[in-house]
Amino acid sequence: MNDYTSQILDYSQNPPNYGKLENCNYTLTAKNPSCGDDLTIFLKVENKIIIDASFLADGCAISKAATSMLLESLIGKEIGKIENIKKEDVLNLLQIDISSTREKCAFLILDALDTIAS
Amino acid sequence: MNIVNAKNEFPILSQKINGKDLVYLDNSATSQKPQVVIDSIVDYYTNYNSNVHRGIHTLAEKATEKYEEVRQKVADFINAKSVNEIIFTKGTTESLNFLASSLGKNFQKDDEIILTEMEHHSNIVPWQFIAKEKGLIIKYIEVKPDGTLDIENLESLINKKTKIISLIHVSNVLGTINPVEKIIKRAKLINPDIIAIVDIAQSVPHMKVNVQKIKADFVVFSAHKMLGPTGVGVLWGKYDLLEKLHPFLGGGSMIASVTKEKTLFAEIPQRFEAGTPNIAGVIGFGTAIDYINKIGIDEINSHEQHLTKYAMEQIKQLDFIEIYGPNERAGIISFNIKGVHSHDVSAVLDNNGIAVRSGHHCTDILHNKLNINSTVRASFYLYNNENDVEQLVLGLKKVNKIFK
Repeated sequence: MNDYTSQILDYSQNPPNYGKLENCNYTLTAKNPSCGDDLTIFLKVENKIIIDASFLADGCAISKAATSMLLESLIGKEIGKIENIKKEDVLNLLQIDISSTREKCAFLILDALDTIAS
Repeated sequence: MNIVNAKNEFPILSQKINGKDLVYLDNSATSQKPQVVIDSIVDYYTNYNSNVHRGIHTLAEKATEKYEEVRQKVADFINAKSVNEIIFTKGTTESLNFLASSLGKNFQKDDEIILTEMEHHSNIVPWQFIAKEKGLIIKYIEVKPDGTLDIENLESLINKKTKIISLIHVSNVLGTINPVEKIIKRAKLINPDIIAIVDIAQSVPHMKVNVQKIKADFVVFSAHKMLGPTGVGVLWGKYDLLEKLHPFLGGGSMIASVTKEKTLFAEIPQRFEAGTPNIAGVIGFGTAIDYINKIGIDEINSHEQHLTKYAMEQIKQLDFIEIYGPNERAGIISFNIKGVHSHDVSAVLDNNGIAVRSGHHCTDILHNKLNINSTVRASFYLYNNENDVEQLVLGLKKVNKIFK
């Protein structure tokens, strides 16, 4: 196992998009009660296009790296297409195998994005 | 039997995890099982599988005899006055739900329940259920920053409306050994009618617990944390209190007679064991108690105390680690590596063959009180040794190196 690639360590320790986004259009949250992870993401949208995204999190390296990388990949995408994002998209970004016990960590960002419809 | 060689008697412990010798330090979650326990379960299913308390045939009689023998072993182990005070349940959680639901039937609005901030969720949620139903008030004995209970003002929490004090003997996170005898004594001085419940799930596998000495009215614990199988727990209660208790589950075994109008209950303990019990599990539990007795509970305790002190000394030398809880403790050490989430710590340790627990260990209230999101927990049992501690320390250094 090498879950902690330098890419994942970089993204989890110094996420470029960490922090609260002022004047954002969406604030979405997700929690993982089994580990106590707590995630809030902020999305700024103009003309239906995501122009900025950031997050605040209390979580493990895998959940932070997954969130940071996925949010980065959303910039320039249509907000309406968010629901098409799949687990595979997260895994492709992380480039590691995720064991069943860590799935909740890696896919916490998807739980947060899922709340956009509600 | 020799505690030094005990590890060889647990088949699971000889395997490799991720290419490394398994170092199992998640004993507070569940203990491993010695070969003799596994054998006794296989023996039951192979040679005398049968239902208990019913059939008049050889197998049923043998199964019943073996099952009932374990009740006596449990009674002796915790120094119960009578074998009839031992009720088999599914586990500590079921025992506590049973108590909350059955005792709670007689409570009135505004009656009070005392818990502590270090309770496992199993000793909080069932009381919240009944509190909501009956309009009861739950009060908590606070946890001090050093991880001990703040009992200085215990008397101010207790009054004539207090019905229950229910508390954990040894914290499953901090390893704190609570002075339950003293707490119960002081509580009953103010209100002698208080019923005292002690969760001994984390203490009785590791130290001598004498239920009469600690002045408890009920105690609850699980077989699987003391070398036995999962799915078996114990509820012990003073006989006169059990007589007043309404059954938790209705069904077969627990009746004397059933008519269209009403049911007369069986005698205690059958009254509280509706349905076919976990016969194989109870028999395996009996073998586990025999195993512990052969080594000796005091021997186990001093071995674990030695390991805990050794581990505390070693871990304290690591300046990147924060340990929670008091110095005087049972064999449970919860900690964090500064700036690293507990899941990442346990994932890297697992990569080195070391099994620890990470998360909040079913104690949200305690973690909130200590203002921490989650912790890593290493917990010992009789088969652990100094080498396990040294592997843990090496593993922690590796974690710190990766995340530095």
